Amino acid sequence: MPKLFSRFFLVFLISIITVGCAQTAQSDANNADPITVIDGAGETITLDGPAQRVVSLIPSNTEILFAVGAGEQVVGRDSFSDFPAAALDIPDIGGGFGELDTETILLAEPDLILASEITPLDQVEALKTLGLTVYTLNDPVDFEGLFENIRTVATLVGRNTEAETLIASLSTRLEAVNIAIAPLSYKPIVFYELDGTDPNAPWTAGGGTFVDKVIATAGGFNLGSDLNGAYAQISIEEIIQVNPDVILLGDAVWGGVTPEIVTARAGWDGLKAVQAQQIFPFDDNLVSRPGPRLIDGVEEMARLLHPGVLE
Amino acid sequence: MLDITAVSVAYDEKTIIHEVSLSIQPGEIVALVGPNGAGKSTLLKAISGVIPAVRGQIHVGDQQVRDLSDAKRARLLAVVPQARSLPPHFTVYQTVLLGRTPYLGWLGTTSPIDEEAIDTALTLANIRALKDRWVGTLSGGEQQRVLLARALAQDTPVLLLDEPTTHLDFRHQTELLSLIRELATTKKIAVLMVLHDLSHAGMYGDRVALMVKGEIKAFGPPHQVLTPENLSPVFHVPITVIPHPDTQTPLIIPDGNIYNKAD
Amino acid sequence: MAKSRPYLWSFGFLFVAMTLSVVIGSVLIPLSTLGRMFLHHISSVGQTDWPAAYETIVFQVRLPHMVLVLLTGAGLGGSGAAYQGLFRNPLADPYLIGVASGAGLGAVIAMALRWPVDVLGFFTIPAFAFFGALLTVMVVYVLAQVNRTLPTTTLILAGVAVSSFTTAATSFLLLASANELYRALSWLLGGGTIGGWSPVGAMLPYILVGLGYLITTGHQLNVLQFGDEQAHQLGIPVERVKRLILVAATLTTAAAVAFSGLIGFIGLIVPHMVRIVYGPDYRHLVPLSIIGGGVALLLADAVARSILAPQTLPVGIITALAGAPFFLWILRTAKSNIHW
Repeated sequence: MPKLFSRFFLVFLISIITVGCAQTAQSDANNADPITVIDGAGETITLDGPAQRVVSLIPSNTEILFAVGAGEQVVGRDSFSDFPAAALDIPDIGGGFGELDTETILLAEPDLILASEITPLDQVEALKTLGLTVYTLNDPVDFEGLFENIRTVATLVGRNTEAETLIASLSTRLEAVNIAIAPLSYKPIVFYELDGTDPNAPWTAGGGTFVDKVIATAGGFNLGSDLNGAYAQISIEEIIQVNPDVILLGDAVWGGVTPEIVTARAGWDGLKAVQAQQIFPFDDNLVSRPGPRLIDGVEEMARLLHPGVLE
Repeated sequence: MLDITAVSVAYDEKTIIHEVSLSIQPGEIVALVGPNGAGKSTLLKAISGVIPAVRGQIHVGDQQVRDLSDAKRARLLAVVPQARSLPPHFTVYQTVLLGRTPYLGWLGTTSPIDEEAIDTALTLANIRALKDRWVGTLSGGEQQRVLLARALAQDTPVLLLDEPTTHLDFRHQTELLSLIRELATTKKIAVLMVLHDLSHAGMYGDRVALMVKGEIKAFGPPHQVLTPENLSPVFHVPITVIPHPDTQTPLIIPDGNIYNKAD
Repeated sequence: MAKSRPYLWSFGFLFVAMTLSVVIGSVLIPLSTLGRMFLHHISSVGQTDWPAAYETIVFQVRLPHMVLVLLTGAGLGGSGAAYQGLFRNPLADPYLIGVASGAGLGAVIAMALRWPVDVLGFFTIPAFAFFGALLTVMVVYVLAQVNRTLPTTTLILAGVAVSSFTTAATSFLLLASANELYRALSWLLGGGTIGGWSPVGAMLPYILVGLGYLITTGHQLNVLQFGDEQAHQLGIPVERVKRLILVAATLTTAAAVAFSGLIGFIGLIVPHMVRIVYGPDYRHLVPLSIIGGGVALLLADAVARSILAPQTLPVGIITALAGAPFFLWILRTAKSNIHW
């Protein structure tokens, strides 16, 4: 009897594997596509029409979608997407431990998944294998690039008019900052702290990054501009040598770092910024997410660096 | 049955065994004795194929043993090692079953012939009642008999035993040796047995081989080999030999003189 | 109880575990619906009144994942039993001679090189992990040889030495590539990310061949418990058998680790559990550990997927969290009973 059972079981096991292997990949619907684009990864993406069920894999994409008025068209978002507040009501599809919740994504029956260039390639591939359409939106390198991204997303979801309005408004605000800052001769040296867990070797943003750009646009000079990479480590000695005028705490929100904590750090008390109490917490989301709130970040920083210059 | 001709074993220029020759007939027990380090255990290992660096001829019947595969050799030679650190949770049956290794099918399944051989071996060694006991729960004497049964299950014409009476008490030593004597005679097995007790060698061996420093110094019937002239210089102890009251085989005891030194 | 019909019970548990694995997921699909879906799939009987997404979820996500976990667990359980028999050591596990550390180094190198995706595509990491494991074991093997024999003590020592080296190299690479740190750690804790049927297909031949061979070595492993010398005398070509078992167990483990990351404790604990219930006869210990490994990992995986839903915890964390206290419990209660 046990022998019979094990034989039956083996058949069962083999049939499961056969059933699975016989699965053919779901075919894409491919007729008369009104929207054909090439995404950031060089892949050609075709949609039957403007996407009505979008899953966003990164907060900046979520923010752009809501900003162009497509909030209702978002059916899934990653765990970190927390702006605007309405985003929190949309189903969470993972991404916290690096693992996406494929099942919930599938259940939402999306017609478009909006990934970014930092989405792991194998996750993108896994989603594509399941028959889903994935558009990879690359990070912009400047504000023009940001506006282009907004246009691209708007095209995908059929919100071109709203996008242009948004871009116009953002450009105007940006221009206003540029005009206000241009005549100023004083450019404070800014140390933007990304991670101060080790006060002797904190992390900051290097040159060419968006943080760097924002600081420059806001009329400051990024202390880390000589360094390479979005996350660069710098020693306290170099900071002391350069002696920044302002310290911005990008780790205030996620790391709970306060100006008092910084003042108490050994070796930091001699800094100009510390003595003049020019240490300010800064919402890192405004400069690390390549979305419309970058402009908010520019304005916020300009107000901190040059109080009173902007109305 | 077992013919060893000019067998030598050497490692790194050191000779352990030098030109040893012996022959053992079916049904005969040859007791191998000698001081520690004489190479007795090494000789057994050489014969049973554990040591590769062997020169000379080793025949079982007309088969040259050294050319054989391990499995084929195991059908000709079985070894009973000392019963030490046996895996405790194997049952007696499972242990004796291992003796059928050279004959088992793929996946280790037993045929009726194998089962019969195991049963016979258990009976011959008087441990059938212990069949399902864990080996770790047995006494030293019982464990030694389990290993003997395992070797018997191998159903070989030649049996090699390496000091099987070590760690056994007086009763179990006697029982075991009597058992081996009986088996050799009834089943016509050629037995080569390493013993440390010279009197046992005299009582149970048909012939005795005295091995010293890798060479056979004397080989023949017990009363011929186990003499004070042969033994005293080898063991560095003055020796007296007296005949057993019943069997007349030589009993070896130290000289009375060594107790009188204080005088 | 289980002693009398071990295979019946084992397959029973396996069936339950497999079902559980397919039932659990972030989307709730009722058991009855699942049953009907399977029936429909095999025989086209019944109406399809479930959303199309369910089909994709069950047959493209859950089912291949279940098979992958089953194969991995089976591979780890079976090779764990084989390693314990080969090394005659209750602490032996499939990672003893460098498979884990070698696979880890291979995977981290692949991640640090940022994917030579063009050549190997998404199998880059598993391929590097697999070959890292094999290369490391080969180095250990060569180092451990003494005159043409392979004494178990030198194998263990060489394994420990080489593992220390590869672990150090891995740690260095981890520090040097901060971006990939998160993914690397996740992989090292047992979280493979490639879904679908292709990893199953890639892994299957190695697992089947490896485990298939190991099942036949039960008797030989029994004999080896008595020591190399007695094994020789009983007619086992000891060196050849040791090598073959080593190769089979290593291939199996390397394939398992390559796709699923480093999952500990299965290979160590499952054989012990089987031993406690059934005894040390390797002819049954190996196949029962194969099934048991599958069951254990399926259960651990089910926990990993549900405990923090919708996040998936790396399954290696669950096996370690459950495994360590379990191991201590085995040590305490079964001290006299450890069938060794």
